[in-house]
Amino acid sequence: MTGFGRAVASEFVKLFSTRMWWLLLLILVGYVGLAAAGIALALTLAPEQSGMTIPPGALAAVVYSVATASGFVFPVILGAMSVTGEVRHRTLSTTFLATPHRAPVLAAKVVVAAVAGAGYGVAASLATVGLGALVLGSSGEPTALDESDTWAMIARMVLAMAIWAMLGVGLGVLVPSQVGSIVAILAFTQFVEPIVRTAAAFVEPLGGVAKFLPGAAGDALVGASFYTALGPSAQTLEWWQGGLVLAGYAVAFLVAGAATFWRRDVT
Amino acid sequence: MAAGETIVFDDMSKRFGAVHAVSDLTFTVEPGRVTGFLGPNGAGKSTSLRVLLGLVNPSTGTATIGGARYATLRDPVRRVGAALEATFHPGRSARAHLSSVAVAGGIPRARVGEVLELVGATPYADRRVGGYSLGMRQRLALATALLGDPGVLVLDEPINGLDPEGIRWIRGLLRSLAAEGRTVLLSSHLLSEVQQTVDDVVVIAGGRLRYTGPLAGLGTGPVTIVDAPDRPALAAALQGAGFALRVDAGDLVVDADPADVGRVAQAAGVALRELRQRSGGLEDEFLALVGQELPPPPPPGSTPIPGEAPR
Repeated sequence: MTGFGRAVASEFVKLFSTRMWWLLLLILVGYVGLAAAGIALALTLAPEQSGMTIPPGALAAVVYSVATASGFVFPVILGAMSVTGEVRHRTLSTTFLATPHRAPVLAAKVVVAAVAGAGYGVAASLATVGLGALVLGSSGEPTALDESDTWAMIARMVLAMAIWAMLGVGLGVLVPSQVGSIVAILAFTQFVEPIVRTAAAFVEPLGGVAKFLPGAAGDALVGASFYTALGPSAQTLEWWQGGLVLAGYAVAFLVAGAATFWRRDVT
Repeated sequence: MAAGETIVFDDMSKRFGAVHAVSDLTFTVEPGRVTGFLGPNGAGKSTSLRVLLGLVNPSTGTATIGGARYATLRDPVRRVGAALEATFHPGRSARAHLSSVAVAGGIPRARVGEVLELVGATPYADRRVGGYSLGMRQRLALATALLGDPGVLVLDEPINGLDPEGIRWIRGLLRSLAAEGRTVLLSSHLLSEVQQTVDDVVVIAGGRLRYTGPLAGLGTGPVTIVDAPDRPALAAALQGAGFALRVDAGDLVVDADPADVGRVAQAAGVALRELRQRSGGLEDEFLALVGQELPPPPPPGSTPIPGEAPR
């Protein structure tokens, strides 16, 4: 095996030898599954009270995409912790002693995060599509499971979760403090970006900027979310543009982190 | 087993901002010997070892293993085994930790069980490290260093936290590793901790080299305390034999081996009351080298520290 292959294999051993990966996975699946079921119930039982205008035929997509719209923060945290966990527990020395070239170590973390993120995407999709379709079906709404568009969207959700995890690694190497990075992730994704995007749905000039925010780019990649349901004025990118913008954030974070923290003395 | 290799520090300096952590460090560590890297806390030992292992970039100079920088070694885990802080992810078991290093270093996984056995960590190998004592973590750190069966071992304070039985065990292990031709470099802030283990010592203080060479060369040679009922006759005989002597805290101290002192006394027909080698001669010399002294006792009648019970 090459040095890089060994580094990837070692990162997999590290990921699967602590409880974090399955704890996060468990919370993710429970959270998005219940959220999808709840939204499906709300939209089918009392659509006029939900405050959302769902385009005809898009109901199933909005329900299923809860997997990424609400769940994307989990792969980000998983990816970030592959770096910040090593900083917090002072294990970077051990890692760099076994693999003295640091760039392959970071690349290995990105690869492992992408695979794990895709796995989270599959599990989260199973939860939202499974529970969501159950509720939609029992309410007599179309589940859209026989449409190729639905399955293409699910594939894009898996891709989005993989990119989110890689972005997380970049964030971790940019903000190596474990507490700092988690605070940054939660503050930005749960507070800053939702406010800007909600405002942008009503303030025209903001929309031009807001569509390039990471969450908006991720939703554009998937192609549906509550925000697209907020109103027709919400601007979005094409799905492939959204994917490129999101990947661009990941690359920018990784390059910036690799040039700064990752090169520093490990004392 | 990989062959022992020579470690060379060549005029290595490291600054952290305005702080000169290590200055102009030059010394060599030979294979087949145990070398103690000694100095008080904050002397720059850990920084030097981290430079040697490629974790810290030197400001100037080099530190090499077998003529190469650590970062350029092809299979570093097989050539150099290092134990630095004994820090691990608390949620990971010893076995999983060793597996992650073995996989990264291209070591067969079967070796994990071997090193666990070697350091006596098998009974708790599948428990999470978070519940380990410092001594257990030190053993795991040592197991990590031994994973690749390397010819060079670099150990930062490996004895710290071990119980007396563990200390005796690690001394024997390090001696046998050196006897196999490996290079063994271990740091300590206590000479007494490694005195029975090391062949050579490197002493640093304040980031500068104070001594490098055989342990025996550190002191001024053996120091003997001797006394006789007829002390003037003993002193005369010893001075006649060319020994330097002095009175230290009421003891007659001779810079010579006890056997030689006894022989002189016998030849002079002086009956002895006391004859023993003074322990701590090296320690005195070591402390003098690193310029460390005990803080002076507080003057009598001084104010007790607030909150402290009056004596």
